[in-house]
Amino acid sequence: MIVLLKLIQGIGAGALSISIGLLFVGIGRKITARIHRRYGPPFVQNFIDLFKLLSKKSISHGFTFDLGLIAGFSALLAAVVFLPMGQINIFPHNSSLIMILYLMTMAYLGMAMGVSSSGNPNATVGIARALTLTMGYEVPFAAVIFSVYLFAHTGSLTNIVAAQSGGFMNWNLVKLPFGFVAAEIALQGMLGEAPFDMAIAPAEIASGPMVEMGGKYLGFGMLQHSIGLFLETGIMVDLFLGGGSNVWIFVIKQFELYFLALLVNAIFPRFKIEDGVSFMWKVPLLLGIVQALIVVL
Amino acid sequence: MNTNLIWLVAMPLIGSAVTAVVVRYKFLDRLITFLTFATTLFVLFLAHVGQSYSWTLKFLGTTLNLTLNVSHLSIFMLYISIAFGTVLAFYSLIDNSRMKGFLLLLVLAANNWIFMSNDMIGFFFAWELMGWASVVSVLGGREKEKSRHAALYYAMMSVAGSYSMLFGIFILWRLTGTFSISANIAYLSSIIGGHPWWVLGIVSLFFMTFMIKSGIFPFHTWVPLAYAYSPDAFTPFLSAAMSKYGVYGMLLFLPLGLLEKGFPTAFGVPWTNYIFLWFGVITAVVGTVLSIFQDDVKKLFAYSSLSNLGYVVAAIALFTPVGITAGIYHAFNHLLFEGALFITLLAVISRSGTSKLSEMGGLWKKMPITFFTFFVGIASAAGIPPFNGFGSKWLVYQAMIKQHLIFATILLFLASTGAFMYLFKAFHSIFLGQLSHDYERVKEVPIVGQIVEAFLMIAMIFFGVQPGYILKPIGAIVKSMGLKPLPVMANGYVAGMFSNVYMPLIGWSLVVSFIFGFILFYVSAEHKNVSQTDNYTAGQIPEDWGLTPETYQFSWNFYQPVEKLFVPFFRIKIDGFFRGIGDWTKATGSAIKEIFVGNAQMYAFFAIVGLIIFVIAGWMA
Amino acid sequence: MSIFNNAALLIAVPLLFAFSIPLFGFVSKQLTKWVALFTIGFNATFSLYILLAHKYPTVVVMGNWVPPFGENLYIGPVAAFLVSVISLIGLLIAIYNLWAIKLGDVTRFSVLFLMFIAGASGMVLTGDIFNLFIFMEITGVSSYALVAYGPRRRALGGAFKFLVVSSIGSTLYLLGVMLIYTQLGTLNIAEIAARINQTTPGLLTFAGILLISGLAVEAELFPFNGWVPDTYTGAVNGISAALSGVGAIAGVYALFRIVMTVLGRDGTYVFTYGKLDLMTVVAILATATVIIGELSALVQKNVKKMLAYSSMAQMGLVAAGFSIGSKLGVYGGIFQLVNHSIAKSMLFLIVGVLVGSGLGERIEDFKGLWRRSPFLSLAFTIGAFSMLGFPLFAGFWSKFAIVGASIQRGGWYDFVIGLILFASVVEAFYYLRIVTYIFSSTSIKEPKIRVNLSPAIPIFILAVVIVAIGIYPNFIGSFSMQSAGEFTHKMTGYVLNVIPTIAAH
Repeated sequence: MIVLLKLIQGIGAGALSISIGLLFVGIGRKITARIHRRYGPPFVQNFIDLFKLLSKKSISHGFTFDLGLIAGFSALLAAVVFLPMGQINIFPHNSSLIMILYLMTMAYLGMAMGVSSSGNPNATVGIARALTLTMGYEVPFAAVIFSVYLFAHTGSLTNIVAAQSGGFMNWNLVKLPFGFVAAEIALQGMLGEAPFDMAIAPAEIASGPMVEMGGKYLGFGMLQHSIGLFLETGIMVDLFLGGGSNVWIFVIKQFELYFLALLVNAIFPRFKIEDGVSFMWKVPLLLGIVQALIVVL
Repeated sequence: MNTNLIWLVAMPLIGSAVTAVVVRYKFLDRLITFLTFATTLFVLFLAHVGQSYSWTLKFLGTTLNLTLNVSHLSIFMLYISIAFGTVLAFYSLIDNSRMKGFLLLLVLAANNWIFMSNDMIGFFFAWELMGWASVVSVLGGREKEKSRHAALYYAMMSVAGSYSMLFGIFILWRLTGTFSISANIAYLSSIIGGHPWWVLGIVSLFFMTFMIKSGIFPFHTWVPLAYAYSPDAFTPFLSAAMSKYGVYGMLLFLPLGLLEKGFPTAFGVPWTNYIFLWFGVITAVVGTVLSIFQDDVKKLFAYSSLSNLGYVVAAIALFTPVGITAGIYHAFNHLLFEGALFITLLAVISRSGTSKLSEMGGLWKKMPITFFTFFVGIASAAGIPPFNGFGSKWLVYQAMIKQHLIFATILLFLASTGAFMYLFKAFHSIFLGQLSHDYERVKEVPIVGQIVEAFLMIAMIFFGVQPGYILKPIGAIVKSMGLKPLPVMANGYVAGMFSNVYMPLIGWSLVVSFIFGFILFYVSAEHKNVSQTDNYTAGQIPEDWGLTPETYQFSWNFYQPVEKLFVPFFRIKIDGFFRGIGDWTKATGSAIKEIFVGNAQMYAFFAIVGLIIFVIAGWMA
Repeated sequence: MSIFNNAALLIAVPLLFAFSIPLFGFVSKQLTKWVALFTIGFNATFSLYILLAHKYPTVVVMGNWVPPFGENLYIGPVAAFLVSVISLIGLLIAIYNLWAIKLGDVTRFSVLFLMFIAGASGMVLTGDIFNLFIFMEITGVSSYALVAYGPRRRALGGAFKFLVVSSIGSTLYLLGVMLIYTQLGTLNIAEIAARINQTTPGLLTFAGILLISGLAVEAELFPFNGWVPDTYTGAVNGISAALSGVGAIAGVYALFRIVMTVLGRDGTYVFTYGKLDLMTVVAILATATVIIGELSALVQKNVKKMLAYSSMAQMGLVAAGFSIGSKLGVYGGIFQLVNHSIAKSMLFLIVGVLVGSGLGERIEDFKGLWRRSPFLSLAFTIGAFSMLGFPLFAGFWSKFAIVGASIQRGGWYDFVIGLILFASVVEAFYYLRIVTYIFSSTSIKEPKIRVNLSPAIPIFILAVVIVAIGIYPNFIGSFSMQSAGEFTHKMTGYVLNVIPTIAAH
């Protein structure tokens, strides 16, 4: 019985994350357009795109191509159930953060496997860049997680959220300001927004990983991007913005973070990949270490 | 007196003698090797913790007791190494590299003796035996001249290490008058309060040996050479099992009770352990970074192996319950996934005939079982749940965070992310991407190989989802070292300091979401398969620019931008340091050789001068 | 004291046959080699009988003149053991010589070879320092001539250098003997040993220095070992093997019989009487020899020269073992001496076979030997591993014991053994370099090497013996242990066995 309940809850969480993610991307397109003084597509455009893509015939480059894309999508979906979203907390597991992070790694691996097996070097170049950038932002993010763990004495997102209850002043944003800034910059890299969008740089490597995708494959790619967006902002909200008393406040907080990322994205040019990594290892890492030292000492 | 223990050493020796006779008949050689391994494994089932066997040797003026003793740690190490060796020996039935069965069996005999020996004479004997047997094994690699150099380099490191240990053994003997390992460690532990520097000096003599054998920075330079140029069938054992001897030795010497003796600490660990920990962390980072830039796949995974041992050392150096658990657990996981990876590499290299990443590509269709084993292997190595590398890596991080070691934690994270980079590079370059025309006729390995690969794949998933089967024996080891073991939970749990990961939960959530993924995939519009070269080429017609799969495969200079980041570090050449010592010795040798000028008058003159010096010395005395 | 006078045959028979070989030479030149072979065979059988039937300790008196008044031979554990090793290795080399010695004056070669064995056996057996000198001269003179045998010019050069340096050595030794005789009026080792305390310390020191300097020539210690590389390289391989396998045993024995038994003082560690502790002097010489020998061997391109330098270094190791002065150290020294003789003479014989089959002596000539002759390759590897002290081979146990003894003594011996271990790493490099060459095959298809039966037998036996000792060290080890006791406890181990009535002074 409990299994069935959790199953249904999980499906609900997955659906929620997909729709919120798609919605965010839609709104994001609109906002970026307005910054660029364009009108922009309607904010439900992404839902329309998704259905269109899933219903189109497409070409495949073999079984690993299919499997990789499905894995990229499914592993993220599996991660969503461990994320406390306001009052929704399906598995209040005491190591949810690390499980989410590593399941996201699995999604990257699946995605990378899929697009590499297409045999298009542009896609592989994109993946190589994405992995290089991962090495850049994971290091400051590790410093941040280190501080949060030590500060909260727990590895459970639920407990971290609970520790921040009781008003703005209890948020880790206030308690761990340097860590927040570092994580915010790392988040920009995770989301792949400018100035860290070298992996999909359309003008250089023909959209990188997406170069061989069409129809439902591109649809799966979109889904993966949406859930990834939801998860990454969600982790940040739980870590620094005190979670949410209910799911809608949670989503609004997520949107604030996404909005910030969009603004940066709209006005910044792109780093070269090695410069991006060395930037990550300078500014945010330094902030993260400062934060960690403050917590430890 | 448990005579069954002696058979653990005697059985491989007998097998080795037999295989040495039939060495010309390759299949027979391999078959006997495999049977010996299997028999040894069977003999091992009869061994239990607490058994011991001792016999006497009239030597060094007294009658010495040589003791075999089964502790919790030794039985764990024995099981994992012999079981893996049996699997490898089974695979080697279809292997055609120049590995010699009798050398592998000699290494096995030494392996069992090292893990069971409770006296330093037997330990040293076995250690040296293992050393030369493996050196000679390395000689049989594919590239003759390179494997010759590698073997020589390995031999020099290994000999230098053994002599360092020999010195330490006798110093201990001088102090205590016994060769018993446990008695000597108890003695060291008892005098550490009064003479810390003495104890540290002696222990570092041993640790140098162990670090060399495990390839810990700064003694890592032999590892890539020896791994890359040894026979492909021997490399899995070299990497998976033999790198553990050093770890085992370190674990023997770590329980000195430094904390109880009021040793100065740094971050809650004794400062000696703190320094030692940094050797591990540096190894992890150096291995990872160098691995990223390799084009030879065996070298790439040699550095990978190195880097993982860095994790192990960093964890056990803490000597906290979670640290020791994490270290031994990671040692086991390293054995499993690195062994599996090297076995798949053996399969790939035997079929493609090359170990250059830039010459491979697209092999997944041709070798599906190998491909999936490799996939699970790299997922394990990258620490992705629910495969087996995750739990131990996570425990290592927890151990580090628990001691507030900021920089070590961050660097280990860096190593872990970097691991993902090189693993994917190997994965892509071997199995994904374009299939070269040269490999159109490549076939999957014979059925024996497929069985082995599938078995290892299942093992990696099983121990990933059910870590308790490993963590329980490790708990017993931790307890036997006088530490409080981590809480024992159901088999699915990886229980750490502030986090218990329930692996089956991850497994099930993945299963369910994959089902949804597949459903969504198949309810969506259909797709058709096209050939690999049917690709987006920015409006160009591929034939116009002579596109071939080889030219359209991105695998050369894969992480070229990253190289720029590490340029300052590449100037530090540890290898150059050792070669410098070698060159210096050689130059001194050439200078000293000039004493022997080849002239009778000079020799007479020397004799007379020598005499005069003595006479003067006698006068002065 | 039991008297077993027949043991004098160990010297008398080879000498007798050596001088009667020219008669056989009239029949056939080839016959002379067989005569030498059987004579040494007799020696081997007889000495093994003495050793295994435990006919020792015993004193052989000449003409019923009881020591210290007459000349005597003393067969203690050391003599019984070493004379067996000498004659067995001599026998194996004689078997090898059946194949190797074809050209030139075979008759005289056989004469000299027998004299060489007789002299070496005499050195080990005699109980009289002047007779020791005589046997040393017999060994020396015959070996100069043996080294000069052969078609190559470098043989003459080698022989000449040996002759010059060895003559200086003999002279110094004789001066030392004279000094002692002026003080004590006796030449009998046992009596001198018992009464050594009665000498003037200053004069004793000087005599000791002269004796050591003289004997260090044969024991190959620096700086008296200049002859070693050229002589070993110049001689034909059978003779190089004999020099390192037989000559070296006698040389080291003589050195330590004088230093430890004659000049030594019992204790936990043996020291010597006089103002200067000669054991320390020997230790310094030995360490220098090891380091210089190993480093010089490292840069050699010629395998034979490399083996020569290695012999020198190994003698240094043996001497270092003895010089520790404890029972364990001497045990390690004797054991290492025997192991070295076995392994090194085998290595020289292998080089001899290779040279005989048209290969050179350069390191490159060993490339791909495994394909051409697995038997020689394996034997060479076994020999090299034994030299390096790898387990399962003989050298492991002796090296282990020497290192153990020296660390047990402690003090500055820690530095001695540290330097020696460093030198051993160098040694490992140059031996393993050859081993790796052997197993790294060349692409060129080369013909197999055919090994005749007569050189194959000694090589095979020696290789098997190395592995046998490596697996079961107790057999040789127990003899080494008894011998060590004779060296370290000079009164009970030596003097009282020869002259039961004498009291220590």
